[in-house]
Amino acid sequence: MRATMLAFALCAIASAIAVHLMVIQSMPSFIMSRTTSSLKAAGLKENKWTAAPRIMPLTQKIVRSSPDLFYAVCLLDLTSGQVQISVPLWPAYGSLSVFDDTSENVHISNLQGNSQPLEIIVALPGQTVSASSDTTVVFLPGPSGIAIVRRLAPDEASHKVATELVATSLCAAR
Amino acid sequence: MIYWAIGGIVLGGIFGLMSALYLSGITPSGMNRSTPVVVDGWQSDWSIGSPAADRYQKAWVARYGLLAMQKSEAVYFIRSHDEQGAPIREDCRYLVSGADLPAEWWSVTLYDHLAYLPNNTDGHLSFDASDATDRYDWQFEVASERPEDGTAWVSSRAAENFELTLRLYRPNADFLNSPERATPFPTISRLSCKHGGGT
Repeated sequence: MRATMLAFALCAIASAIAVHLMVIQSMPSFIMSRTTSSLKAAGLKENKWTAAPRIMPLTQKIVRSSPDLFYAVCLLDLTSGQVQISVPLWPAYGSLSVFDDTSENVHISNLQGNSQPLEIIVALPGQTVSASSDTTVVFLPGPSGIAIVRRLAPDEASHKVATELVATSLCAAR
Repeated sequence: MIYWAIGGIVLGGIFGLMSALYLSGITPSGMNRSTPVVVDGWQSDWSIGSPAADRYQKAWVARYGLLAMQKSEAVYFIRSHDEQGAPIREDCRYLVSGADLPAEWWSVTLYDHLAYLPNNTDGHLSFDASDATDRYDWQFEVASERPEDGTAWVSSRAAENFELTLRLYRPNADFLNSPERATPFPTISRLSCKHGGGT
């Protein structure tokens, strides 16, 4: 009986520790993966900018989305190579941010200005990147991630202008 | 003995799962993983978006602040209580008043208790710097119905118990270094409630 109870206790402790660590370790990736799947189900393609509709209660996909901002999203897929990103600047507040597959913000650029479009290359660790000196190189720990453009566009007119900029933006495998 | 071992694995697995969800704050009654920076009752967690966040913190952030940016780009302050410490709720009217805020741009947005915009079609779910006619002295009302006197309005219709999120975009370096020295943050004063409890 003592051996049975000992086996029960050891199995319970080992199982509790293993499951606890596995859940904690995988939770951010799991939530990010679900978000990515949800975005794909909504029609987003990998390595392609997609403008989100104006954030309203019926269009929100992500917690704490801001109704004052324009969002464009590119699902990054580096399995077939590095990804080149180019986005026009914006006269008001704007940013380009890159997140890895655990939702960690690994890069952010200021988009406010009136000069040439911002250029970055997204690559995997250890890869050799050939790029001009004014191009920023961002390394993702894994082959997937999300790039997001945010632009201050609190009304319909500015949101429309921001949406039209997606046509001149680039997010594509090199 | 094999049945006891399987029972131990199942029971341990359930405990491991529940403890992970509790400690990462995923369950409704779980730990609050926000290690707060508090300014005038507004709470923030500046480890959000930071590689310094631990595993539990990262799980919490993934659930409640997915795709949040680094604090040098944006910080988020949340408040779910009025000046008297009572939860802010749909059946009350509130006046939110503020002064100049230490950032290039800011906004205040209303979310329900699950951090989603409430399901209403009023089109008034936030108030931002461009809505403030005087950046040094501004105010707006939070209520389920538009104020008759024309005061700027954020709708709480269908929000039940809710929270306000204050976003500071590109906050000043001085503020990030010493948030406690910031100019006063917005106040949330209860004006009246449909079921009593007004000031």
